Parts: sequence; structure tokens; C-alpha cells
Amino acid sequence: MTLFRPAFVSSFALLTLLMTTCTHAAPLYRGPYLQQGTPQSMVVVWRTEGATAPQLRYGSAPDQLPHSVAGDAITLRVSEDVAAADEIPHLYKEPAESAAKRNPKDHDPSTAPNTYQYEAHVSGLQPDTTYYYAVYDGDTRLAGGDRDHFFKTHPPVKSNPDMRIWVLGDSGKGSKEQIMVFDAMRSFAAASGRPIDHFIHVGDMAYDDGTDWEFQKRFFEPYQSTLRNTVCWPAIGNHEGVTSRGISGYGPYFDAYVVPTAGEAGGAPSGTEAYFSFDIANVHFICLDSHDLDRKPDGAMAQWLRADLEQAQAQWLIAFWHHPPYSKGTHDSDAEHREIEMRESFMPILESAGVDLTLTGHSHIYERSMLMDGAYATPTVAEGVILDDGDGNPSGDGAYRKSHGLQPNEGSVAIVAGHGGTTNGRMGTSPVMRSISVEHGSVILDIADDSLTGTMVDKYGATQDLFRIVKQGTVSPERVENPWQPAHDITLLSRHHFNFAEDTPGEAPAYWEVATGNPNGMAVIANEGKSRHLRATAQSQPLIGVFRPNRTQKFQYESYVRFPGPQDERAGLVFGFVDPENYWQLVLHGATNTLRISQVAKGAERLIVEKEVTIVRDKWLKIKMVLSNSGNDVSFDDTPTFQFDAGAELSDGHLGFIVPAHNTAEYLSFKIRQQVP
Amino acid sequence: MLHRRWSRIFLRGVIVITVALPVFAHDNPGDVIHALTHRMEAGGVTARLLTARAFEHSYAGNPTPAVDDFNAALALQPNYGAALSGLAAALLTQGKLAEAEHVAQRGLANAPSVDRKAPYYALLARIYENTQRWEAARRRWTDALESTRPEVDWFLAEAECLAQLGRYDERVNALAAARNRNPSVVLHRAWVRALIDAHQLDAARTEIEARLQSTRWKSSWLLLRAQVHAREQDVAGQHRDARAALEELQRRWGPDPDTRDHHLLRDGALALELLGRPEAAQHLRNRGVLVDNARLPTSTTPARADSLLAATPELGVD
Repeated sequence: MTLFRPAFVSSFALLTLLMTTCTHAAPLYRGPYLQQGTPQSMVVVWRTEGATAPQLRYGSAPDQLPHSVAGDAITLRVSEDVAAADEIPHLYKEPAESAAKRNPKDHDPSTAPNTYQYEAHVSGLQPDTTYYYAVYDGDTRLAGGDRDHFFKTHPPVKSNPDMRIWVLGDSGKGSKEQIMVFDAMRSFAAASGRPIDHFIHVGDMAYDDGTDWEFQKRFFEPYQSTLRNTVCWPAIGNHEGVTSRGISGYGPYFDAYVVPTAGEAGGAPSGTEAYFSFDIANVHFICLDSHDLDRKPDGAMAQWLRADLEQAQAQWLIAFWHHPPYSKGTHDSDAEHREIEMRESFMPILESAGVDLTLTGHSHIYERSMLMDGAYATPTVAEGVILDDGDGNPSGDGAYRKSHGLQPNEGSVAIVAGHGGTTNGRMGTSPVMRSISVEHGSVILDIADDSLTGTMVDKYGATQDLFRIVKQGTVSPERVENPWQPAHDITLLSRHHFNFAEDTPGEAPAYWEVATGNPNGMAVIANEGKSRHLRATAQSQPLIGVFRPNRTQKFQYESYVRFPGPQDERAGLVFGFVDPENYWQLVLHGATNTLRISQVAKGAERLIVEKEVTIVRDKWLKIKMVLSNSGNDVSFDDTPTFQFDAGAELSDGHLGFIVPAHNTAEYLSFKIRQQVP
Repeated sequence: MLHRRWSRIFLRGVIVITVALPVFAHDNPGDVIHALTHRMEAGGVTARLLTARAFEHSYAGNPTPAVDDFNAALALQPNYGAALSGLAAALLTQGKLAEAEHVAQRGLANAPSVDRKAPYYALLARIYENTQRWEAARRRWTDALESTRPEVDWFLAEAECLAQLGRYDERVNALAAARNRNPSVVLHRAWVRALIDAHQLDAARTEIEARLQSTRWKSSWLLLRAQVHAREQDVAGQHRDARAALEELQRRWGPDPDTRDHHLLRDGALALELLGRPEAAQHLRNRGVLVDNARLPTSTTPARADSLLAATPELGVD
């Protein structure tokens, strides 16, 4: 899509194009799908392989489509290979410099050759009205004209809202979980007798690089049954950002979507498709680009946001973008600059304008906060910012309460919905969160008049969280002293990084225990300054220490080991540890400069693989293992990775370390990432 | 010394003209740097990977290793656009202006099209701004704005150069032209401010009145109208609008202004300036202490408009 879109194709240009290329009905390649709905208008988008004589027909019933859109009301865009008049914009093509360097195994991120994208702008419609439609090539119907192809215009602006919104994030992995989440949403909607009216995607809809092909296979094709009758309002994610640039509005992401830039759907003109706003009934929505635009409080996006919020007059205010201001899922909002800047720069603006709900993704987890205000500090703390520490569930602690209308700083709820289809994880516990789940799923928002209900539906269709905000009368919010805090249960975490900085020298580190060998052989050692590490000393028996809280089969496991003394220098890692008679091990042998992986089953060791490596005494040596469905990879000291076959199905066991008898080894850190399916 | 914000803007800008770099977007910069290092150690060093790592260093606020990596990339591939633009931006962040200009000129010479040249023009403009060579900077902004998709910030920067040169009418015209290319409300506001600075007060008032009719929060527009009054020596009108703006701002920031959007406090400080309370304004600017509206002057305290305007950076008066 182009930013400044007087680029409607002239009839002459279109005719010229058709005369040169169109000889028969071209196959429909993408869509049709809906974009940029308003009370009076809708955009229907579709692609064909090859040129067509495009036409959209619409009407009040599937078999009654008396109205049509053609000619200048259809914006045409074509792939770079298509010879077209100068005013016809082109779809994304990979820069030549990049194409020359691309791995031949990777998909060409460019738009497929001979692609024609049509964007039909339907206007003069009645608010809150359902229309059926079909797209044509001349007189040949390509799609529609049935009960599945329809659009419903938005209700009048400022009318009382009654809507259901599907919120999805980080879905576009092409996984079976992605499809399960989609099916679960549809089952939930069907069971409750209320289909979704609107669709918000908080980014990462086309892994890994946001290429045109990935959009097609991981977004348009899986969700086509919804996209043909529901507008998806998107926010750019980091994966789309690989090939699309918010600053220029160029790339497959911007090709895929048609969003307002000049206030077409309400709100202040942003002049860019990277961030924008729109109104649906009495709800004002704001989309921000947290990925590649200036996130500073004086930047153009922040200036636009302030201007937009000044003029927003609604009962509800919902903002969405990709990088979460509060999260301890697969990303840490206290450590990553995009998340920190969105929290420190944009949350104050939004809360000063009365935002009710923020929706984000990026972190592959579901996290939902308490009602809070003013949580801008780094690191995030709960003290002094929680206005209601209940669960927000009408059947539990009760709904969150706010005043009618948009009142400043009465609290908002933050949702991280990055659990839509890729690998989930959790590295910690955000103190402002009331509900946390590493299960895949999505969020359903029901907004009816003065009530907003959020439901997290997991991939099996079960409700994992439910909260409600009610906005009535006048509420005087007060900050909760000593608010409820989510339990920091280490067994629930899937990501751990042990650097022993918090552990007491001379003692065993927290959560680790000796599984076999000298019970006192494991102790934290203080180095100069604050640095600490773990020393493991085996006497007459091998010493195996394991991290007890987690058992895992698929993982990424990384550690640094060092041999401090004049022994025979043997030590390593264990995995799949069930008991002292059954485990796998990776052991460095200093005497032979080898790395050996073996399985111990019923006490008997079986060598799986042996590799030559260079082991230097008193030097930290890095070991990294990745065990996944796609293979078992090992790297040593950042040398090239090799793979090994475990030989037998790896058991669901503990991770740890091993020091053979009469040896001492030191471990600088352990980094564990459990693969949460 | 340049503000870090500009370096980030440059970094984003320069990426526009470059190839799609490999992005390890799922980890924080430290992890990405580590992964890139690992990948280069394992599979060999390339200009592309070095440049990707350099950008991560830059994003993490570490220009020195970024410069090293950019230079290493350029040693492998001397005309690599991504590395050239990234290096120029990093050098600019370090305050090495002559070197930054040299690298930017080198990139400019290699860029094949107006769109590819534009970020280099923007870099050069920032370099010239940093040495207060406003006319040279303005020319480079004008060059950058020839591109297909100029940034909103570029329009604003060109206008700022014109203000620095005292060419207020040209500034109005430049922003009017910008609005024809981009409908952003940010440019509209900048244009209204420019109208005031250029003493085109009737036009400014028309725009302000229209916005006052349609907005929920009116304080920013009231402050602009107060500045129109100030230009007209209408002290009563100036105070009336400034006071109304301050009342609304107080309602928005409530009893705890320190935790609010600090731009509200900055607007509050401007209102106090316009009310003839520069010390209170400074106090509010410094830490956001609420001044009770009840204690505000009710009389039409004389205030020299020009001195007030000169003290308010929001106006862009130089």
C-alpha cells in the first residue's frame, strides 16, 4: 500500500495495462480480504496472478449485488516485473544488494512475479450494515457471492459500543499451535453465539522475515476464512520489520495492509501507515510502531499521539503495539530498550489521556496486569502503582472500576498476548501481573456500553483468564498499599540464567543440589568484585549437581567451565538426568583434548560421539547444547556446531553438571531455555 | 555533543537506504551481538554480519565498537551502503564531525538514486546543524526532502533551520508545502507555530479557533492562542488563555504531577511564563511542582511578549 494514495490508477493507465496483458481470467492469489473499515466505507483487497479487469460488486444479499466498484476507485499495485505506467505503485522487491547476498536456500522475500494487487475503496455505505460482495475479472467471478463473503460497516462514531474483538500476537510461525489457537477462537465464538467483529494483530504475523511469501503462507492463507469478513488492524512486529521499514512505509507488511494515514477512520492524521488511530463506535483505538521508529517523548510519533489524544472523544481508549512495556516472558521489559522506551515515553502520554487497555505481543506468553497507573520506573515495581490488586473477574474479586469517559490516570490494564503460535517461555515474574500463562492462546475482548471484558482462550478452547473493566459514574482511584504480588515460583519458569551473583559464597547455590557424590562438594566462590562462580569438587565418587525445579526434554543449555587445578581435567554437563544410574552427559577430557557425549543407562556408559577440541587450563570454556525436534546441536568455545544422535529417546530429566572422581571444575554460569511447546 | 535521540533517528534513517540486514530480532542486543560473534567465528566474517553487529552496538548506545565493526565491514566491502551510513551516524554520535562528513560524502557519491541519497543528505544536515551552519544544513534538508518518502522529522528540521536563519516567512511556506505532501497533524501544529513566529496572526488564529472547537483537551491550543495574544500585546487575552490552559493541565496531572507526562508539565511551565510567573515556570520545569491555580495572578500583570516568547523553547523562537 502506498502512503499518499491519490495514486488511484487512472482509467487510461489501467486500460493500457489490461490491453497489453489480459487475455483470460487470472487465478486469485490472495484474498479477498477487508481493510480500513469505517461507518461509511470499506476497502476490499485481493491479488491475482496476472492482470484482470477488476471489479467489486456488493449488495444486501449474496445473490443481490447490484452495486459495483471499478476504475479509479480501485487502486492497482503490481510486482516490479510488471511493465506499468509510472503512476502505478510497485509491490515490494528485495534490494539487489541484498538479493546478491541472500542464502540461496532462503525464500526470495520479494513479491511473486506477475502479481496484481487490487484495493477497492467502497464508499457511501450505511453505518452498521452488512453487505455481501464478490470480486470479478470482467464478468468472471473470482470469489464471493456467497454467505461467507460479507462486510459490516462500523456503527456510527460515538454510538454505544457493542463489539467483539479478537486480539492475536506472534502467531505467524506456521505451527500447529497457530491453527489450534485460531480454531479455539472460532469454537469459543460459535459456542457463545457471538462471532468476532474486529481483529487486532499486535505483530509478528509472518515469521521469520515478514516476506511476502511468509505473509501469504502464515497469515493470509490460515486466516482467510476470517479475513474475508473481518478487518484486521495490524501493528508491525520485529519479524515484519526485517523486510519492512516503518520509516519509509515500504515492504511486504505495508503492501499487505491499508490503514488510515489522514484520519480517514477517525483520529488525527499521522501521515504514515506505521502508526495511526481509528474509531469504532465509542471506542478510540491507537496503533503505534514500537519497532523501528523514534520512541522518544519528543519524537514525531509521540507528538502525533499527544495531538491524537487531545481530540479523542470516546468512552474507551485502547492502544496496541508490539513490544510490551511490562513482561517477563521470553523478553524482559526491564532490560530491552524498545520495551523500556515504550514504557517510559509512551505510557505516561497514554495514561494522562485515560487509556483503558494496552495490547502488545513480542514476549511469547500471556500476561495480564492488575489495574495500574504510573508504572514507568525501571525495573517495574508494583508499589505505588496498583489501583486495584484484585483479579478483575466479576465472579472473583469483582470488576475493575473507572469513571465514565476518558479520565486521566484512573488505571489501565496491560495485556501481553504474544502466545499466538510460536514457542512460549517465561523468564521471570512481572510484579504488576495478575494472570500469567505460558499456554498458547489469544484474547477475546467484548465491549458493551460501559463494560469491557477480556477473556484469554487457550489453544484448547478453555478460558484461562477473565477480567472486566466497568466505567460508570465517578470513581476516585486510590493506590493500594502493599498490593497483591504474583508468586515467583521458579518451577513455572522456562528460562533461567544462573550467574550466582545473588548466592552466598561458601554455600550451595539456590535451587541446585548434589544428586550423587560429595554432599558438600558444590559451593559458590566469590571472585574479586561482585563476580561469583560455582566450584564443584568430586572426591572418590563423581559429583553430579542438578537444577531441581525443572525437568525438560527439549532445551538450550549453555555454560562456561574452567579447570583450575592440576587434575586430569574432566568435567562437563548432564542432561536427561533421571537418577544416578540413568542420564546423558557431555564431558570434556583435558588429557586427550576431546569432548565426549555418552548415555548412562542402568549404570552402564555408552559412548555416542567423541570430538577433538582444544582444552586450555584456567580458561573459561563455553559449552552450548540445543536439543530440539530438528536435531541435537553442540558447540564448544564457539567453534562450529556438530550434531549428535542421542541413540535412544531422551528422557524428560534434569539438567546439571558432572565432575568425575578426584576432579575439580568451576562453572561461571548456566543458561537454560526450556522449549515450551 | 549530540543528543542520543538524533543518533537513533539517524540509525533508523540509514537503514532505509540499505539492504535488509540479517536480524536476530528475538533477543536483546547483547544476545544478538553474541550470536553474531558466534556466527562469524563459526562461519567466517562478512561485511553484512559485521554491519549487523555494528548496528546492534549502536542501538545499545556503544558507538566505539560500532565504529570498529563498521570500519571492518568497509575494509571488506568499501562501498557497502549500510556500513557507510552506519559509520557516518556513529561518528556523528561520537562528535567526530569531520570524519562523519567525509564518510557521508563518500556514501552520497555511491548512492544511485535520490531515495538512496536522502539519508546521507540528512546526515550531512545534522552534521552542519551541530556546527550551526544553518544555511548549509537547510540546503541538505531540502535535498533530502526531494526523496519519495521523507520523514516527518526532516520537514521539521528544515523548518527549524529556517527559523535559525530568521527566515520565518519561508518557514511558513516550507511547512505549508510539507503539509501538502504529508497530512500529519504534527506538521500542522508546526505550521501554526510558524505562523505565529512569522506574525501571520490572523491565519494562525483561524487554525487555532478551529481546533479549539473540536478537541477534548484544549490546553495546547489555548497556549498557542495566548502566544498570538502576546504578539498582539493583548495581555488580558494572553493571561485568560494561559490561565484556562493551566486549569485544564492541573486537572490532567492531578495531585501527583511528577508521575505524569512531563510534556504536560512543560506546557504548564509555558502557561506560567505567559502569566508572568517565570520563576514558578522554571520551578515546574525543573521538577514539576504544581502551582495552585488559586494563587495565580488575577490581574493583567504586564509582561513583555517578546521576552516571554524568547524564553519558551516550544515556540521555536531563536
